[in-house]
Amino acid sequence: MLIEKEKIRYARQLVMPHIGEEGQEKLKHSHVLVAGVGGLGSLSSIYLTSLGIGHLKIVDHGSVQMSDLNRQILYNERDIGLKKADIAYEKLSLLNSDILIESICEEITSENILRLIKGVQIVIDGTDNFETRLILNKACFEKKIPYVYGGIFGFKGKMTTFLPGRTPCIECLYPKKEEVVPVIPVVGPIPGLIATLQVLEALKLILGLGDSLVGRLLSFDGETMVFSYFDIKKRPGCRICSA
Amino acid sequence: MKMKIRIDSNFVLPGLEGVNEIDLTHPHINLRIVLEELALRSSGRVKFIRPMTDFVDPMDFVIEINGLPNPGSKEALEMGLNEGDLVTIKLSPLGGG
Repeated sequence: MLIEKEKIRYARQLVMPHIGEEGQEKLKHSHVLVAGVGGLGSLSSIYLTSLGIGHLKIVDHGSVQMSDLNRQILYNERDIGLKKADIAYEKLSLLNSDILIESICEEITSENILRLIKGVQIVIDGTDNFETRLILNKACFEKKIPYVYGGIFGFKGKMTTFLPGRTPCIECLYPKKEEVVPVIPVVGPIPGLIATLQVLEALKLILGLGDSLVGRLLSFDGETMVFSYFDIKKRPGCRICSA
Repeated sequence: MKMKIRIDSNFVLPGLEGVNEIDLTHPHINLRIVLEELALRSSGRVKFIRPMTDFVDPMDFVIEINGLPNPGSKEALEMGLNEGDLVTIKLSPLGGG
């Protein structure tokens, strides 16, 4: 049952036939993990909080730097040097005190990942490197948890939803270890857009409605303002999902 | 000149579903001809060569010929191909967040 305060807070969602009280209850009982609260995770965690995701877990081991402020909109100049997980917890709690926000200041590794994703319904990618993405991919596949990938570079962004057992996985697309780029060029609106779409995907997965990007990769080019879609393929011999 | 070129990709190439080779007839077959043919077969859904810059943006697609990376630059697009060569086109990974 939604309490009166929740009915007021979520009034604009409750009037949507796609959501209503039943859908809002689903959101209230959902458990989502945001892996990394940088450019993508800043925005996705704000929207997940405001949507009323009942249990939001955020994981990040980094600290706020001046060079983050062009895109990581959870933070401001006063936060420089402080742990992102702590600041994110503080600010998200001010946005919505009715949900459970769990903030974990740890690096995601193959040793702790199963503990981190325990009980989680959906994992939202907010990481800034492929090594962590491969760890998330493997764990999500093992535990059959949907994994909403997002990646950005310059004016470009890509995203898709990996559903274990139904779609290719990230290693089908990118089997080789990718080169680490020391400074990834980016303007704020690109992670903003991709993170927003990631949250939309999570929302639809929780509510069980609409067409998701399952099996399709969305690619956005901010220079030409073109959205493209690609049907992605399972890779024979993929060490994660082809067994 | 008539030539068979093998095609591989990590996504379904529109207009080439279930097909892993194409036949081309052209006096000088190079990578550009292949990519333009694939774009044509996709009915414009996929443009591999950026019209404004005349190269393949490595943040869009990664190109390999017979397993070796091809930068997709203006010059690299002119690389001649031989019968049975394998052109691999992959969606580029975007790793930032």
